[in-house]
Amino acid sequence: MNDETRPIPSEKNEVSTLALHDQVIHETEEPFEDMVKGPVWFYLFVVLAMVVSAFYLGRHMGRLDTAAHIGFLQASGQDTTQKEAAPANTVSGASVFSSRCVSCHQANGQGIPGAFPPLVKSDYVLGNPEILARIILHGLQGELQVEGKTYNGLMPPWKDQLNDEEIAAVMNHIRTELGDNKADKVDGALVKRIRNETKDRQNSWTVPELEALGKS
Amino acid sequence: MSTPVTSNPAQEESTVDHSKIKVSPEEMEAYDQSGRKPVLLGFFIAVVWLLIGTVLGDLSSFKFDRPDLLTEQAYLTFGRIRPAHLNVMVYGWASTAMFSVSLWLMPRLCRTPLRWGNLAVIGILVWTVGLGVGIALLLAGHGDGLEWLELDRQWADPLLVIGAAMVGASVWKTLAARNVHHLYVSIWYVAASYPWFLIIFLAGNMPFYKGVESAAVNWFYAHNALGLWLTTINLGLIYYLLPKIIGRPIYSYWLSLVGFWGLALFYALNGMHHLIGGPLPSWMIATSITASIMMIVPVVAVGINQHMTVVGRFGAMRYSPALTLAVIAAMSYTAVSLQGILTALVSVNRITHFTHWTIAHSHLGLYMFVTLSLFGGMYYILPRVLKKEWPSRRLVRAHILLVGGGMVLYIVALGIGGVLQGLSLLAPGEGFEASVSSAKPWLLLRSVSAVIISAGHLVFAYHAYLLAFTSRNSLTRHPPFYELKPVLVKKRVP
Repeated sequence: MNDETRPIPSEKNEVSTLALHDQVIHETEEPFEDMVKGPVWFYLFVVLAMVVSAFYLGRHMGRLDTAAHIGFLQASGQDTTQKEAAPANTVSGASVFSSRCVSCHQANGQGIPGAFPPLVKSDYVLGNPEILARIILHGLQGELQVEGKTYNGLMPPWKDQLNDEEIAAVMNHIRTELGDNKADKVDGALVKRIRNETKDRQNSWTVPELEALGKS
Repeated sequence: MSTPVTSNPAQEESTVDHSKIKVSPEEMEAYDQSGRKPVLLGFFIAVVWLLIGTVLGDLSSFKFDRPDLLTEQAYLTFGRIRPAHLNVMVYGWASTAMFSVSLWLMPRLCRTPLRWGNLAVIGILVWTVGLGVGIALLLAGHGDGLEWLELDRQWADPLLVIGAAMVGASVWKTLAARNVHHLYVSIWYVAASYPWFLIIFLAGNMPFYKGVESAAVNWFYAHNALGLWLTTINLGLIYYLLPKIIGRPIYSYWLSLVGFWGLALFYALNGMHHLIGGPLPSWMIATSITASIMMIVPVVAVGINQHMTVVGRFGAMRYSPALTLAVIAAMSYTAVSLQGILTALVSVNRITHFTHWTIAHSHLGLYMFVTLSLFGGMYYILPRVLKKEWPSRRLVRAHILLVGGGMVLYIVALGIGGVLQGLSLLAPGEGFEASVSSAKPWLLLRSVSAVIISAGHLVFAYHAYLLAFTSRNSLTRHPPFYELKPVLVKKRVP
């Protein structure tokens, strides 16, 4: 550092120093810049920042296409599955429902008219539990009639996010707790059986497929 | 051979370097008086907007504690009051005060009287009319519906563009007429801000973006309004005030260079980190996060540069409110930028996105950095333009303690509340109501701090009124070290 070029050296008693300059100090010297190069560690730090940034960009930039930012979705998916895997036998259907289902079907299970079908009074919910388990495991797409209204949406599959006990719990929840819904309880064994029967399935169900199943 | 055109040796010497020649107080006074009209007009309008924005901000804050407060009229609902608060503070208070700061800095730094001062006066008035129209329309329910760009793009925005361009023309005309050869770092920041602001403001307000594009352009603008407009002029002001008041040169010209060009290069790419997790192509978000990480370079450069300029002389803060506020603002710039880099990382952003943390962060930037720097500038500039000193040390002390203390409380409270809210939102078993109730006590604390800050603003406005409109204690010549007695600590009884 070059303190000798600085007009007022650092001192403890600024008052006395400044009192001497009472007249001139109203306009102190105009500021200018020293030509000090700055500390070496700063320039090393710049290089470090560039290296870190280059690694980050290479790791996360992905291809230059319109795919969404996958890394973020994966991170959240891993975390939640790890957390929920532990308490397998004591799952609450209500908590699964509020974390997975309410964003579309709403907390009261009434859905959103025209967009998401209601679960209350729905034949798909109250009817054959094997069909309901298939819908939750693999999702549902295409046209669908509930309560006399037509919906054309897409329900995602949950087979990778929810285990058998969780699916059974949420089925019981929507079959018995929502609105005036009253139907038989199911257990994890049923879900496990359906999961095994349909383990080769890749696509979501459509209504004609489910109707064919119901008749056979 | 032909002789150089400038034959006056004193003149020639002064063109070599900014401050090799000792400035006479008379010369500086002439520069200050050349911009007297626009500078005073801008500061007056800014303080009026500050008070309006304070009321709007307080109302928005109280509505979190009492959701049914003042909901009978549509124009008093949260959805209109809150954007009105943002726009009044950004375009009314900060931007108008920044016009005055730039119109005061440029003549001094260029060593020439202000050019086209009357154009700047008209520019400030046009800007104010445009903003008034925009705020009225916003409260009446006509806004563009994009954060930071709410002002109506048909009736308000053209006036803002014309007003800023007029002030910018005055700034650049003064720069063109400069009598110095070497441009001091503050000139780079102030002069560059005007074209940058006009470019981003025009780009942000174009009417043809749709869907995701619109969101991307929205955050391109909103982030750069902070980075390439609010930040730059205030850094220019701080770069002037610190060495000027302390009487020392800026530590390093090279670090100034790195700080300026690093900011220009990386800040412009930062906006997309507001949309992490959104439906944008991954390269846009990854590039933006990378640029956010690289922002550490200019931020650390400016931080070192300003710290090394002041280091060892922090005691002088006791005598100069302008220096005190400039130092706090400079530190807050470093703090808010480092916090911003941290928040841009995906792992942190998962928790803080869509929470009150963001509000705490933006107030650290817009208040602790921008607003305190402008307060500091007004403490330094107004006495020189008005040729009288601030009348009361007590009011200065009360103002700084109220706004500084209040804002620290604000940021800490909302920061904690935001993190709790974010963790609650992420917990799969908890309902949405849990995230609301976990933030509630912290929101109440925020309202308390809002009242404290408002009291500080009232003190400042009253003090500025005393200074400008009464002749009490008016002394024409006083050192910048205010009265040579401690301002911020009570005098010790021997």
